[in-house]
Amino acid sequence: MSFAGLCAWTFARSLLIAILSLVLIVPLSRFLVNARGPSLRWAWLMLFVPFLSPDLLIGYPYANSAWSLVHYPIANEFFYALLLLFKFTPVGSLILMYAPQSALSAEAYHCRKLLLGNQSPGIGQRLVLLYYYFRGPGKPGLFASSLIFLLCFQEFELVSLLQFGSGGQVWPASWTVRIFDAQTGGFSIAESLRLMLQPVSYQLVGLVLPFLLISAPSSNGRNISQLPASCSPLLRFAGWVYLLIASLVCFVLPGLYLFQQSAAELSVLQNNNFFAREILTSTVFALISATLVVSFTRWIRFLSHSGPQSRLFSQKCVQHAFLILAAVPGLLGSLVLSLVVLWIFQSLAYTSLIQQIFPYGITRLLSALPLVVTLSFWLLPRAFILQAMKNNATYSAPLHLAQLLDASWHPAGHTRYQDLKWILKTGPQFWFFALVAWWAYWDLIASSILIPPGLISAPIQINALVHYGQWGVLSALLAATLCFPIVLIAVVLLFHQVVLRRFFR
Amino acid sequence: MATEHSKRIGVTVVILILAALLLSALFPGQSTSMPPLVVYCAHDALFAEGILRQFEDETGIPIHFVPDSEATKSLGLVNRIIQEKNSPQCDLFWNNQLMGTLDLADQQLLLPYKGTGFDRMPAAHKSADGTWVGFAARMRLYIVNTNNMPATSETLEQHLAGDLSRMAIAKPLYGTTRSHYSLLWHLWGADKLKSWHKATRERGLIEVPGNGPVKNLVAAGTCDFGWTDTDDFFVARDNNDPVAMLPYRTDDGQTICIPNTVSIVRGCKNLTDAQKLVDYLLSARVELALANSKSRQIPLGPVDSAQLSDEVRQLQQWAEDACDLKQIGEDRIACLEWLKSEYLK
Repeated sequence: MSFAGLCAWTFARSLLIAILSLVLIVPLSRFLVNARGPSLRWAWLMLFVPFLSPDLLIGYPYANSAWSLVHYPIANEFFYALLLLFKFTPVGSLILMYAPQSALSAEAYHCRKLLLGNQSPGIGQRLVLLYYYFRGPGKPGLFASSLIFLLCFQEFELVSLLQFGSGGQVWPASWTVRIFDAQTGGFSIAESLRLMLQPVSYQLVGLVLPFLLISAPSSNGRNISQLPASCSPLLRFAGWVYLLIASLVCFVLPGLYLFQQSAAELSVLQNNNFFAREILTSTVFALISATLVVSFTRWIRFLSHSGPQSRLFSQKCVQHAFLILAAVPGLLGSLVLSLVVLWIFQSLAYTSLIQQIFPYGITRLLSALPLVVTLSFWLLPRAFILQAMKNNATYSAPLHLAQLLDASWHPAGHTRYQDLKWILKTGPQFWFFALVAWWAYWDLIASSILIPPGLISAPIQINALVHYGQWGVLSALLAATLCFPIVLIAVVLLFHQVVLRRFFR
Repeated sequence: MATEHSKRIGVTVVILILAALLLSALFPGQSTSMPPLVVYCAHDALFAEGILRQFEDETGIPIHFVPDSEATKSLGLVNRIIQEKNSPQCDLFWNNQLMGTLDLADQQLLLPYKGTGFDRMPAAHKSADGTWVGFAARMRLYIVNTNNMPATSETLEQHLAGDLSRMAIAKPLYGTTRSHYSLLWHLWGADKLKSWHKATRERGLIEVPGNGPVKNLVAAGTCDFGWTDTDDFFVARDNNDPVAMLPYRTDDGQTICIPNTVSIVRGCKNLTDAQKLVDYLLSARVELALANSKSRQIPLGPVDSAQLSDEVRQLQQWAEDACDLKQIGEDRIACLEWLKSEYLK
C-alpha cells in the first residue's frame, strides 16, 4: 500500500473508532456520574486502567495473538481497532464530563428548533441546526471524539508490535510504522519530514474542529452537570460489564501473562544489572519532564489567576493563543514532534556546538535536552486536561475551613487538617504529577529517536527484546519496569502517611 | 499566594538539580575524567553487554554501550554513524552482520587495524585492509514445525513450489533477511529476484517485523516453515517447541553464514583502547563465550572444539560450505534501493 493509502486507511480507522466511541462514552459518563459509595472508586480505577496501561504491556502478550491471525488479516485489523477503542474510550468519557459546559444550553438549542415550527426543515436549516448543536450541547462530545481520533491516528507502539504482511499488504496498516521505518531505514530527516506533511494535514482536521469549538463561548460550569442525574439498573449493569472487560483486556490478562512468563526468568534480572540502569534512566527522564510540565501548567494557572478579574479581552486572547501554541505540538503526537525536534537540533549542529563550548561532563548532560524538550511538549496537552480535572476536584472553601482546623487548640485538629489537606489539595497534586511522570516513563518513540548516546531506556530495551523474540527475559524486564514506579509511588504514599503525619504533627 | 508560588519554584529547582545529578551518574564511565570508549552495538544487548562489561572490569577502560533495536536491525546505527561523520560520536562499531559495515567501509568511515584478532580470522570473513573483521557468525536457515511437516529438503521443495501462505519471513528491508536478499540479487540478478519476490507475495507469503516473530509463528504452528537465523531457532529449541532446522542453501549448495563484524570508526577518540577492544572481541575466548551462550554463535577462528556443544559443531560443518558475502559488492546497494522503493514508497 502506498504511503497516501496508509494515511487514508489510518484516517478512516481512526474516524470510525472516534464515532463508535461516542456510542460508548455518553452512557459510560452517565454511569460514572451516578456511581455512589465504595463502587465509585472502583469504577474510576477501572475507567483509568486501560488508558494508563502501558502500550508495551498490552502489545507484547497480544503480539503473538495478532500474528496467529496471519491467515485472517481483517480479523487482526478489527482486533487492533478494538484495543484502540478500549484504550482511548476513557479519555472521551473524561472529556465529556470535564469539558467546559457550552454557553449555548440544550434548552436554548431546543428553543432554536422550536422556532422552525411544524414544518420539516430543509437542508440549509438542518445544517444550521447541526452547527448550533455542535456549538451547544454536542460540543463536549465532538471535542471528546476529536481527541480520540487524534490518539488513534498517532498510535505507533501497538501497531508496530501487532503488524504483519500478508500477500504483499500490511495489517493493521498505519502511516506511523512506515515513517518510523523510513527514518531508521536511512531516509534523511528532511525526507521523513516531507513524508510527514500528509499525516500532519490529516491531524490538523482533527485539531481545527475542537479549536474552533473551544473558541465558541463557554460557561463556567462543567459538562458533568448536564448529564442526567439518574441511571437505570440496565445501564449500571452494562457500565460495570464494559469496565470489567476493558480492564481485563487491557491490564489484567496481559499482566497475568506477564507475571506467569517472568517467574522463570527472574534470575536474568539478578545477573544483568544494566536492567536497573535502564529503569532508572526512564525514571529520571520521567521525573525531569513531569517536573517541567507540571511547573509550566501551574505557572499558566498562576498567571490566569493573578491578574484582575476584569482582564482585558485582548489579554485573554493572548493567553488562549499561548495555551494553544503550547498544546499543538503535543497534539500532533510524539512521532511527529520527535522528528521535528531532531531536525531542529540537527540544523543547529547542537551536539558539535555544545562539545565546543562545554566540558565533557556538561556536554553529556546537555545531550539529554532534545529528549526532555520533546517529552515535555508531548505531555503538555495531557497536563492541561489533568489540570482542568484537578481544578474541578480542588475546592477552596472546604480547604479554607480545614485550615481553620489547623489553628484549633485541640491536638487532633492538626492531624485532621493534614488528612483533609491531602484529600483536598496535596493528593490531587501528587496524582497529577505521578500521572504525567507515568506517561513519560513509558515513552518509546521519542526515546528511540532522541535518547543520548550511552543511555537506553527500559521501553527501548523491552521493544528490542520483543523483536529479538526473547520472551522470557522480556517478561522479567517488563514486570520489573512495571513494578518499579508502582512501588515508588507506594513508598511516597507510605512516607506521607507514616512519617509526615506521625512525626511532624 | 506569591510566597506559595516561590516555594513551589524552589521545590521544582531542587527536583531538577537532583534529577540532573542522577542523570549524570547514569552515563557509564561517569567516575572517570576521560571520555569513555563509545561502542555502537547491534548485537543482542542481552549477550553483548555482559561481554563488554567483562572487558571493562578487566581493563578498567570505561565503555559507553549504545545498543540498537532489533526492529531496525543495525541499520539504525549504521545510518547514525553516517549522519555523524562530520562529528563522530562512535569509537567502535560492533555490527551483528556485514552489510551495513560494508556500507561504512565504502564511505571511508572505518579505520584499518590489523591486530592479533585479525590474524585469527580466515580471509573469507575479513577485509583485506583491516577495516573490518568478522567473528562469531549466525547462519540462515529454514525453521520447520515438525508437527506440521517433516523437516526434509524434499518436503520443503514441494511446499516452496506451491501456496506460501504458511511460510513466514522477516521484512527484508533490514537485518539478515536483507543480507539474504542481497545475496540472491547477486546470484540471480535483479530481474529474477524481483519476479520471485512478486510471485512469493502473490502466493501469500507472510512477512513479520523480525526473525524472532518468524520463529514464534513456526513454533506455534501458525506457519509451517520460514526463514530465520540460528540464534532465533535455538530460542525455540530451548523452549522445547516442535521445531527443526535445515540450512538455507543457494542453487549451488552454498550456505549463508553471517558474521558479527567489528570495526574502528574514523575519528575515534580513543584509538588505543578501541584496538584493545577489537582484539578482545576477536579472541578465541569471546568466540567461545558467544558459542556457548543461548545464541550459539559459530566461531570463525580456531577454538578448542572440545569446549563446543554438538549443535555448534554441526553448525561449524555447515559454515564450511558458506559463500563469501564480500562478493555481493555493489549489488547490496542496488538491492537496498529497490527494497526501499518496495517498502518505503
